[in-house]
Amino acid sequence: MGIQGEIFEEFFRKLSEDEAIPSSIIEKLKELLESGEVSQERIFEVIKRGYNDASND
Amino acid sequence: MPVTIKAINIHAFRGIPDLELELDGKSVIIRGENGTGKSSIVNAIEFFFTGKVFHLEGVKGLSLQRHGPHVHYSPEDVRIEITFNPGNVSLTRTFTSAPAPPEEFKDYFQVTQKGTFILRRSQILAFIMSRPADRFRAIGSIIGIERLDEIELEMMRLRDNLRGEVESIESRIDTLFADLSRSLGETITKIEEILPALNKILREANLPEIEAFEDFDAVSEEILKAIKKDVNMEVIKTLKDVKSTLETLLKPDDVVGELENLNEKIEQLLVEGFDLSELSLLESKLLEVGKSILEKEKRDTCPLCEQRIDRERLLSKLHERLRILRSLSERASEIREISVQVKRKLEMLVDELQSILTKIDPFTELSEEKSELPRKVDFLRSFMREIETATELRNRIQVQKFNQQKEEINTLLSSILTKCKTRLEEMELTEEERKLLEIISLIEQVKIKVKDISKLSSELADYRKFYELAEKIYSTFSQVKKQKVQEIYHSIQGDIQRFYSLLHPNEPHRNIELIVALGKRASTELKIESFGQKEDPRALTSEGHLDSLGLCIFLAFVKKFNESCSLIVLDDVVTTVDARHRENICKLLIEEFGDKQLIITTHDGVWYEQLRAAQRAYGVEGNFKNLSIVDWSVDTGPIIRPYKPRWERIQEKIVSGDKIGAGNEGRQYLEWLLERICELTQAPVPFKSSGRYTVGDLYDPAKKRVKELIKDEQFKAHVFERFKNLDLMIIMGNLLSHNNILAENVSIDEVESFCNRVKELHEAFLCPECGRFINYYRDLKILRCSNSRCEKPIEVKTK
Repeated sequence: MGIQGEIFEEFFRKLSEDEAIPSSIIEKLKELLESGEVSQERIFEVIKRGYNDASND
Repeated sequence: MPVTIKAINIHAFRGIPDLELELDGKSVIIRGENGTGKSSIVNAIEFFFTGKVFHLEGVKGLSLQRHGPHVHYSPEDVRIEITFNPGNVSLTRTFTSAPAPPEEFKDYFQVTQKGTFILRRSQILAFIMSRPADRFRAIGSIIGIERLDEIELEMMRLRDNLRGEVESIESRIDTLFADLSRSLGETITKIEEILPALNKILREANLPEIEAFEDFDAVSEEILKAIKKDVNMEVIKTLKDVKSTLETLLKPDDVVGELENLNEKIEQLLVEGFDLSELSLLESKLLEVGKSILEKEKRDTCPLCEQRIDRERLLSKLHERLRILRSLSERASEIREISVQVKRKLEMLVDELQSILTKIDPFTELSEEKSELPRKVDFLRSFMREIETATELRNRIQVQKFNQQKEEINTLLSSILTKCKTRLEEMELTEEERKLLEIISLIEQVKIKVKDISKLSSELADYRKFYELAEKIYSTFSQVKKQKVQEIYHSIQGDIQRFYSLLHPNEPHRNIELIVALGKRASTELKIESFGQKEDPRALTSEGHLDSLGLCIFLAFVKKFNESCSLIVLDDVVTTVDARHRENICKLLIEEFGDKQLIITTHDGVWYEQLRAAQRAYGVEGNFKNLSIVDWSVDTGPIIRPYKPRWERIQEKIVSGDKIGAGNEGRQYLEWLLERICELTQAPVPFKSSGRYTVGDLYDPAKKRVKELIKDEQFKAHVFERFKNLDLMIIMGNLLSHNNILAENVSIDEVESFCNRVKELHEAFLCPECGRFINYYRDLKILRCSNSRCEKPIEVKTK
């Protein structure tokens, strides 16, 4: 695993330890970062959708 | 088997029309004077792998498309072909196609396509001299975290934008509360404070209180019932608005006075025949430029027609003409200012009249005014155009006509005002009823604002949560990235220190540290401990030390991150490092990077010889190709030949009559020899921070030290005779340096004689038996052949 993989792994591990962050946000963020097409608009979309889903649940 | 370059073919690129370099998978050292195409070869390798050339990137006026091709060729002619081993695989790069490496070359190309295998002197500065953020970027490109930087940046931007959004919603809510405070006569900061404040007003008016926001409409209807008449609130509001507007419009104004003032100023300029055209402005600019040239250059000829002029008289005329033009220009500017103000007033009047027309549309009793008012609006619009043309001095303003129309407009407006007042009076609202209507209007306002505040508060709660999440995501990512990068820095610090100590043994610089700056997003600080203090290396080390430190950092990263790529290119990187430390660089490269394919270019003959000597010393001559660029022209490009010993090169040049080339070689030969003698005898040479020593710096200290040190009279006499022979020609050593035009005056015979005498001095320090350079054994107080296997080693006693 390269430095990028190591950073992603540790980043998602730390995020999942934070109970305030809905798991759907972490999952979607993983997909987004792996897709390589990261922009602030897309991250916001992930946060918004994940937050709304969590609120509806 | 590692991937290596077998051959490089360059066509139509930079200073190279055509070149074929056979490397056969070996390392290559290319020596050539400045401007002979060394860097073109490096650029071609870089272009092949990355599609870019570093120094043509991001510089205004430079582009690869324009400056990449050789001057006799066009972009479509450019073609770089590299053949690789294993497999004899040839790949090509042009401006329109990239090389397509086979799967087994994937790892090699993953590194090379980032360009992080090349180090130029200018890039060394990125590690040492640049700002911490640029240093982070330079290192980031080697360790492959540029993409992570982009992700981090996007996360940070989102966090900042969301914070901005939260602040904007908070500010809009504050504004609504401020409006409510004004309307309700109390300070309102929370939604719960609204109903009590409103109910206080209702209580004072003996009206029923509102228990919940949903009851706003019911209470308004209840209050409305208390008003006996069938009141159409909309009509009352409209009539009140129109009345208020008309009362303002009918107040006396001084538009006519302003127009008269404007007209007067325009008429004065018209009488003086002033022209406000662009030509006149150009004339003014031209006069200013002419005056400035005449004042500065104190010339007696016209800069345009080169006729003789009376400068003083012309300057005086120009002063006068410019004074008049400036005065006229100021007056024209004043006219424009007044006209803008008047037009703005008329535009506002037109807007108000249009608004009144819309509002009075439902009222049949105003039909006459409704048909007349549009004509007045048309007049005002056409009059504004008249003002505009008058401002350009094309006509005078018809103030009288405007005055007459303005009076008619006022009559019309007075008539509308009277009819509005009559209509309002017909509604016969009592004072009490008016108050009730005002309260209903207040309830309506409060209702709208409460709705807005509720909507914004809900949005605010969401955005605060979004911001909180974005902040957590960004800060976690940033923290993890910094921590991992710092771990990498820690992991290579040992190598950096080891490499640096190898280059600078016994020097007081230690504990080199790369530190990720904590308070910043992407920033790297560099520290080194010198004389007990931990500082930025620029504070305490020489330029040569800084360059070698940059080289160590580059090599340490390459060792860790370019493992899958055997290629390292060093383009003229040791120019500021002195001879002794350069020898250590040779050692470092061969000991630590002997498994890599090195491509090293240099203009420095001494460094080239040192690299060759190191190959011999380590017995790795078979792994290297040593090449020299012997000539270059735009038509031929670099002409490259295999290495020849220095003396052979000097003789070739003398035979071909190349006195400059031979002279340069002879001077470098003497510089190298004196450096060796000084080093050998430990001669005290005045320190130079640049680390570059010339013949002038070394000659006398070397001679003096030999005289003091050697006890053996016969050897001393032998060496001194050679110094004496050189004494007469030592001036040549400096004369034959780069760019010295006096070198042209030296004859080829003199150059030959100079070179022979340098060689004679050199031979005096060689062992007569085996030809090795002698060494100084201080403890034994002898100079002796350095070859331990020499059968009859020379031995000379010293003091």
